[in-house]
Amino acid sequence: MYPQIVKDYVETGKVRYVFRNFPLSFHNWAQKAAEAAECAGEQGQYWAMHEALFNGQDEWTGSDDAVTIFKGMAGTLKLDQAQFDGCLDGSKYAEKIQADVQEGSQAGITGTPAFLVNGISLSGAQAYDTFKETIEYALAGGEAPSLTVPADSYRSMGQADAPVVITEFSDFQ
Amino acid sequence: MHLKRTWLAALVALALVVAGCGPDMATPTPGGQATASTQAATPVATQGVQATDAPVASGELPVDPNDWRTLGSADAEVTLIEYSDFQ
Repeated sequence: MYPQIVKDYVETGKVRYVFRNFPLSFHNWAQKAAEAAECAGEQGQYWAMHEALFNGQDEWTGSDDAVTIFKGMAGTLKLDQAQFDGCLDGSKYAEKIQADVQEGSQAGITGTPAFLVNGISLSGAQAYDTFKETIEYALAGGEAPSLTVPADSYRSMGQADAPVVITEFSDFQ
Repeated sequence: MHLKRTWLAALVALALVVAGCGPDMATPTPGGQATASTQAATPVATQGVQATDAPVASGELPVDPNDWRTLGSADAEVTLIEYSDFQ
C-alpha cells in the first residue's frame, strides 16, 4: 500500500482501502504467504505481517522452506507462536484466500497487482499520481466506464459519442 | 513496451479526470496490464475454514471488525480494492 495514499485519502476518511489475496500459481510461496498474513490477522497483526512479508521478500521468495521463515516473522511480531503455527500448518485460511481469487477473477482480474477504485480498473503497478487522479475522479462522482465495441470499426472501443477519445499510435514490436 | 503501456495507463487516468462526470465515457482497452505479470492466475487448491470476526487493531485507522484486511472509514466515498500476492 502506498503510504501517501494512506496519508492523503485513507486517514482523511475519503478512501476505504481493501486488500484481497490473489496468489499467482507460478509464485511458489504466494499462497502460504497469504495464509501467514491471515493467521497474523486473527491475532490482530495483519498489517504488521503484511509489511513484514513485503519487506522480507528477498529472504523468503527463493527459500526452500519459506514457511519456517514466516513462523520466524510471527515470532518477531510476538504472536502466539503455537496458534500461528497451527493456523499456518493447518491451512486455516486457504478457503478464504480461494474466495478472494474467485471474487477477483469474476471482477476481471488476471494479474497482480490490480486495483479497483469504485470499480474503475487499474492494472499493474501505478504511480501515485495515477491513483490520485482516479480517486479524485471517483470523489467527483465519476463512475467506471462501460465498454461497448462498435461493430463498424475493429480498431476502436467505446461509444461513438463518448466525450473523450484516446488514440494510440503504436507498433506491435 | 512496458514504458508505452505505462504511458497509456497514465494517459487514460488523466483523460478520465479531464472528462469529469458521466458514465458514458470512452473506456481504456481491456487487458492492458501495464507492468504486472500477464500470466493468468490459477486458483490454488484449498481446504480449511474461514474466520471473519476476530478483533483487530492496526494503528490509528479504523478497521472493519469483520475483515482485518480493510483500512479506513466504512463511510468513505471511495473504496480502493487491491488484488495482489506477496511474492
